[in-house]
Amino acid sequence: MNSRNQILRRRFLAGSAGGLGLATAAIAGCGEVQTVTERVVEVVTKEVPVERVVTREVVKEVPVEVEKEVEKVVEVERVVEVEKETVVEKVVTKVVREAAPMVKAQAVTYWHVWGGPRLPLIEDQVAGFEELNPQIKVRHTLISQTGMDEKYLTAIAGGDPPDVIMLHGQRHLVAFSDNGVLTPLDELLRIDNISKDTWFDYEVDVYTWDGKMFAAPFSTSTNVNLFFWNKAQAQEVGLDPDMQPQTWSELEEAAEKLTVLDGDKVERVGVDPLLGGVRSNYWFRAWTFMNNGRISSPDRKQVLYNSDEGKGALRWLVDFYDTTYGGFENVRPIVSGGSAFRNSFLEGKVSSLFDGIWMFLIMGAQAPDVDWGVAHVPYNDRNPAAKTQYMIEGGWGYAMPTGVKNPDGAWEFLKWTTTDEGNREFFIAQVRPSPVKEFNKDPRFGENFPDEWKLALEVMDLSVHSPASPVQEKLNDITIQMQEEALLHKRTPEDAVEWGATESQKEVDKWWEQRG
Amino acid sequence: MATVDASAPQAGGKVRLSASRREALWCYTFLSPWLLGFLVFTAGPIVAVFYLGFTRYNVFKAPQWVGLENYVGIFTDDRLFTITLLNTIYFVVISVPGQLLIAFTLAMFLNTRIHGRGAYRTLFYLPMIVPHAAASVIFLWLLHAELGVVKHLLDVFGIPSPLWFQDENWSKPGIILLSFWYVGQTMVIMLAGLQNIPTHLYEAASIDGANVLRRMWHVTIPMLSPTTFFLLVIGLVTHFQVFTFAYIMTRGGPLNSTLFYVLYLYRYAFKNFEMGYASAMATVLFVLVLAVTGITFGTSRHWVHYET
Repeated sequence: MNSRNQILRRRFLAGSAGGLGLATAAIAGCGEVQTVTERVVEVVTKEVPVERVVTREVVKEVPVEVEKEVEKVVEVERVVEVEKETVVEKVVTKVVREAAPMVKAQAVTYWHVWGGPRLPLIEDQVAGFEELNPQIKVRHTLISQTGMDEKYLTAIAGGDPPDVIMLHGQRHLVAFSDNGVLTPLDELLRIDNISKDTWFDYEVDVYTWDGKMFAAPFSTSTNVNLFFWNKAQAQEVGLDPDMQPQTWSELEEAAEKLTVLDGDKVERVGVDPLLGGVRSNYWFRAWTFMNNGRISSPDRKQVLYNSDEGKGALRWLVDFYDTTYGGFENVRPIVSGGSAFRNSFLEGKVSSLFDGIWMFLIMGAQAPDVDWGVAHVPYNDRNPAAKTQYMIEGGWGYAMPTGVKNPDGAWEFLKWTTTDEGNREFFIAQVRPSPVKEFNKDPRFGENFPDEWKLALEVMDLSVHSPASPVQEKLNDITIQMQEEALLHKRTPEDAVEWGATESQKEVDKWWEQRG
Repeated sequence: MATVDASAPQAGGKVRLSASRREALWCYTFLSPWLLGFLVFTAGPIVAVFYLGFTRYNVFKAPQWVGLENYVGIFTDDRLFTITLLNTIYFVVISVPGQLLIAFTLAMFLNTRIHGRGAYRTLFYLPMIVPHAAASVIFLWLLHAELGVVKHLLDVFGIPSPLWFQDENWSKPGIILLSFWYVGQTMVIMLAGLQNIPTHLYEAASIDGANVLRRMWHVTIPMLSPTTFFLLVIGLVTHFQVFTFAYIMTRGGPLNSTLFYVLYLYRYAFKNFEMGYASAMATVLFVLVLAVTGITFGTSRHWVHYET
C-alpha cells in the first residue's frame, strides 16, 4: 500500500524535475512568457502519475516541489520570468481534471463515539479530509458510548469491521490488540516517516501492547482535570480569591471555610474530591497518584495500589468527608449528581469543582458572570515523596481493525485525525491540548485563556502513564465497590484497599494464566 | 389422516396432493418466514449458548472447550453470583405480584361504567409505548434525591425523602416503582379477562345474596385465574431478565444493590469479553426460570379454574 505510494511520489517528483529540465530547454528556444509557462505546464503534466493526483500528497506537497523547481529554472537560466504560482496551479488543476474520471471513488467507514457539541467538529474534520482527498468519502457513524462494545464486537466478529474505529485506550486497547483484531501501526508509521515522538511518550505507551503500537492517540489521555473555584465565595469566607491550593492541607482548609452547614444539613458544598462522581472508578486512582502511589506494575501483572500510598489516599478521602461534612452520607445526594453538580457550581451553589479542561469553555458560555480560579489538583504534603502528578490510563484513539475493506483510505484518514490538521483544528476548537506535542505551540490554543492554557500545558508535562490492566473493566467494578464500602464505613479504608487489590490480583493472575 | 396419494404420479406426470396435504403445505409456506426467523435468530442462538457455556470464548478467537470450568466458576468462585441472584429474586418477588395486584385493581376500576373510561384506559396504557431507556431517565429525575419532583412533594407533607438510587436500601424499591409504571399491558389483558366473565354468574351470586366482596372472591378471582396464571408466567419470565432499568439508572450500584443477574451477565459478555462464561450464566438462568415456571404450572391445578 504505502510502498507503492512512496514509489509513485518519488517517480512523480523525479518526473517533475526532468520535465522542468525539458521546459528549460524550451525556454531557451523561445522567449515569450506565456509560451514558456504553457510549455512547462505541459511537460510537468505529462510526468504526473494521474492515479496519485488527487491524494493529499500531491495536492498538498507537490505544488511546493514544483514551485521549487520553477524557481531553480528561473534562477539558473535567467532567460525569462515564469509566474510560478500560475504554473503550479495550472499543473495541479490540469492533472486533477484529467485524473478525476479515472480515479475510483473510495469509501472509508468510520465509527466514533463523540456526539453532542463535538459532533460538528467531527463533521468539520471529515469535511477537511474529504476536501484534500476528493476521491475518498468518509462515512462516519456516531455510536452510543454505552453500546459501543456490543457494536464493535459484533462488527469485528462478523468479519465486517469499519475501516477506522475510535476506541478507548484504557478499556479496549489491550483486549482488542491481544486478540489480533487491530492492525499494528508501526510499519505504516515508518513508511510514512512519522516518528512516535510526534506524540507525548505516555500517549504512545497507552496505545502500545506487546511492543507494538495498535492505535494512534486522538485526544489526550488526560481530561486535564483541574481544581476550579468560585473566587467571590473564597473572598467572602476570608480566603485569598487567588488561593491556588497546592496541597491536601490547603484543600482541607479551603473546604472547611467554603462549606456551609446548618446542623447536619449541608447548605453549600465547599470542596468535593470525587473526580468524576461516586460511581466513577477513576478518582481513587487519581488521588493515589497525588500521594505518589502506583496502580499497577509496568508489565501489567501486579496490582500495586495496596501500598501505603493507596491506603493513605482512600483514608484521606474518607476522613475528608467525615471531617468536612460529618460523613459521606450527608453530602451524598448533592455530590452524586454528575452534571447536576457541575450546574450547581455554575449557579454558585457549590464553591469548587474538580473537572476537565472543557470547563474553560463551559464557564465562558454558561456562567460568564462567575469569577473563577483554576489550579492543579493538590498533592499530599504529609508524604515527602508526593508531588503534583496526573495519572494517564488512556483516552480516545483511532485504530484500524484487521481485514478492513479500505486500508489505504483508512490509514490516510487515521493520519489526518491523529497527526495532521484534522487533529490540531479539532482541539483548538475544544481548547484542549492535543496529544501531538508540536500542535500545542499554536498560539490559537491559548488566545482566550492564556493563563489557564499554561496550566493545561503543565498538566501535559506532569502526566505519568499508569498501565491499564488486561481485565481493566473487572478492576474498575472492584474499585467502585471498594470506594463505596470505605466511604459508607462498611470497611475501613485500609481493609477496603487490601480487599480490592486482592480481588483485582486474582483476576489479573487468571487472565495471564489463561493467556499462557 | 388424509390418504396419501402424492407418491403416485398421475397421468400427465403431475403430482396430486390430497386437500389436507395441500392445506398443510400452504400452512407451512405461510409460516416459513417466521419459522426461518425463529430457527436462525432464536433457536440457533439458544443452542449456541448451551454449547458456548462449555467453552472459553471471547468472540475474537474460536471457542475453546473447557468442560464444566465456567459452571464450577459460577458456583464456587464468583463473589457476585449470589448477590445478583438475590437482587433479581427480590425484584421478581415484589414486582410481579405487585404488578398483578395493581393491574387487577385498575382493571376492576376500568370495568365499571365510569365517565371517561376510554380516556383512563388510554392513560394507563400510555407508558407501554415509552421505551424502557427513556422511562429510566424520566424516573432518574423524578426520584432524584436532591432535585426530584417526588422529593419536593414529600417535602410539602414533611416526609423525609429517601435517596432512592443513591441509597442501597432504596435503589431496588425505586426500580420496582418504575416497573409498576409499566402495568398497562397487564391491565389490558386483565380487563379483557374480566369482560369475558359471564354476567349470569354475577346475577346468580347476587340472587344468592353475595355482596360485592363475596362476588369478587367467589366469581371474579376464580374466573380470572386462567388470565392471572398466564400473566404470572409471562411476568416471571420477563422479570427474571430485568436489565435496562439498572443499566441506565444505576449501573448496578450503589454497593451492587441493583446488580441484577442479566446486567452482571452482560458485563461478562460485553465488557469483559467472556462470552463462554456469560453463556454458562445464561444457561443457569434458563434452568432457574424453567424450574420456577414448572413449579408455577405444578401449583396451577390448585388455584386456576377453567370454565368447563
